[in-house]
Amino acid sequence: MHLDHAAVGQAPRLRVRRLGRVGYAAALALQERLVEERVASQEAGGDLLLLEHDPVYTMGRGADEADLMGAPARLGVPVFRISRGGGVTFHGPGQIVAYPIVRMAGGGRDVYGHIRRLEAALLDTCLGLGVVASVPEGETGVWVGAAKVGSIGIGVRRSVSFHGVSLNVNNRIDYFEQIVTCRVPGMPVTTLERAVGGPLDRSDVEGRLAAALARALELPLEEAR
Amino acid sequence: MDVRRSRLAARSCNLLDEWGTNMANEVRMPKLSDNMEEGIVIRWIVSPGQSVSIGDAIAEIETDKANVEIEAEESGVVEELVVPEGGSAPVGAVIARLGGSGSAAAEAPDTKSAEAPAPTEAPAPTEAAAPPAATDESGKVQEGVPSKERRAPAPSPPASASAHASSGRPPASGQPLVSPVARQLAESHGIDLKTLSGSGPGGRIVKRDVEAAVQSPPSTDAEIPAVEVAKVPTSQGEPMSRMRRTIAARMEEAKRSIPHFYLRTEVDVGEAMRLYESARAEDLLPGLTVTHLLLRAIAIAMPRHPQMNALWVDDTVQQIDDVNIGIVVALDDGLLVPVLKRAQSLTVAQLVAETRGLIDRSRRGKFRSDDLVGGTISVSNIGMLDVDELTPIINAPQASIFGVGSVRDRPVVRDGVITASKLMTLSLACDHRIVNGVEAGRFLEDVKHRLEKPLALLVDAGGAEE
Repeated sequence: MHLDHAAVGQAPRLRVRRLGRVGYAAALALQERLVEERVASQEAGGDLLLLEHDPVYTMGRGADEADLMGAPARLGVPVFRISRGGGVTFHGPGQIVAYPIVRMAGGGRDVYGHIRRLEAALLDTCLGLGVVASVPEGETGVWVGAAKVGSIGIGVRRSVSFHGVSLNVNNRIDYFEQIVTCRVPGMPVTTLERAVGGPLDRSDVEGRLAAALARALELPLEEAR
Repeated sequence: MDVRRSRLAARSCNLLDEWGTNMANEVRMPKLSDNMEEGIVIRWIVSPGQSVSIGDAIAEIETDKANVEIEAEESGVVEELVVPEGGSAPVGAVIARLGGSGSAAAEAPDTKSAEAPAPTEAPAPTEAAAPPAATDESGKVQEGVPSKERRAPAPSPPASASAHASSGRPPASGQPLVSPVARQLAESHGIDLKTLSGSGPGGRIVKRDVEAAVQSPPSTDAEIPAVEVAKVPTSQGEPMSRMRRTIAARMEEAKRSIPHFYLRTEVDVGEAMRLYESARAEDLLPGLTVTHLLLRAIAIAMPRHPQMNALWVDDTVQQIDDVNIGIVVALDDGLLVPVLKRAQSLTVAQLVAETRGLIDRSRRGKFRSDDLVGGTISVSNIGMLDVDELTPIINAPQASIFGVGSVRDRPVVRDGVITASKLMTLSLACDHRIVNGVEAGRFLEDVKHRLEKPLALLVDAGGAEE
């Protein structure tokens, strides 16, 4: 795989790939490859994968298995333990997942700042849809009222961040009710459609999220060929 | 390693540091954000004896919501991993040592033998105890310098840092291991971290521990400052506790999405009251209340009404075999619904004990994660108040919920004669996606009749079930 975006003199960009429905393992493999390429190339900028997963539970490397509460076996949903921070969460159809695989500014020494940027992009996206979301004090992710609508969990390897954010658009939330989401028992979860009280156009939301991420990461968007 | 030697170790290390002696290449917990205070070593990518070059990934560190691979900034051979996997360490603490191929290695022995004992291999977090040095140190750990700047003579105390970094229990005299989020939360609620016990890796205090303390202010220990009800500002700037927010969202969702229907009946609990009173007089089944008899009646009736014993999951009805009953527990700032599991197999005495344990854990905020799930029905009892009846909201994804009012002396016509009876109103709210009125009615009737003839409820679980 050649780095076709690494033309000499080109300003760093966020190259967006809209992948539609992707199985978790395939998306993970793609992320791994892109991280490797970004590490090897020493290039600034990054790739942005936009997609949705088949139902899957993922857990951070340090997450407590008990937080799954036996849901995977009970519901027949696969589980992946992955190199991101945070506890257990769910991804599934109707949820937009965005993986910005980007070289972090400052040699990756401001992880918190990077997370806050991703958070700002989620808030921005919600606001654009007329939903006033917020980040409760001391939390990571975004909430509408009392319920969580967007989550964040990243990994950093050689100053390249991967994994990213998920935004509930019209996915089922009952899968969340079967686990301890993000280490908080009984955490209420909601979707953007519930928040706006009507249907949303997925590609519109996806476009807004991509634009918001590009703004937050200060990288111009570029559609992948 | 004995305590005396550890004490010596701490001192000699401090001296070495003050002199700015170049020790073996130390890998320290990096500061990955301005507000990072500590990180967890999630995984060691290298093992002792392995050679590493500058830039090789050596460990995966977790902080906040990020896992970060940290890299070797020197080349060398991994001498020891000071912090085991799952263990946390404050920023700047030594987490591993590399022996240089040349001079650094030559100086290493001094340092190493003088250092607090550390495993050469990362032990499992459960078996790793704090090295003895931990208990000798004041526990005051200065924030170290990021590893990039560590060549500057820095007054960081490696011994106390490495002791602190161990994944074992927190140093007895030192500061507890605390996640940054938990620390922030505790500070904002004025909770003394020393009063908490950690449930995170290596006994680390994590967010949920603080939340539990916030939700359940300790009532018995006078020395613990009173905890203000959790105030988390929402976007509207309106203070609302985490629990209140949770209840608000869950109830709103349940009331909106579940098509509730309600049944109501009056139960003659005269016999149950007599049973309760004579049990108390005889000191039998201590702690028994009419609520326990109701739980028992549900436990016996439920298997005969399998449609009722169900959950609404994935837009489908999921029936279960065990009878798991949620018990609504009122707290100062909200409520919790811990679940009494396998109630059908519990005798009345066991049921009393289990219920007490569940309620106690909930009030103290010490519930286990599975305490709150698995129920198909709940019981909300406000019978201790002067209130006739309660029409409750279903606790999703359960199928139904009982609302229990207080016991009243009422005239009842029986066989054409008016008699004084003790009546209790029992309401049953049901999810119409799961059950129909007739099924729910039969169930309610069954529970009512069992409660009205309570002696059979005392027969042990096996006997009563046939």
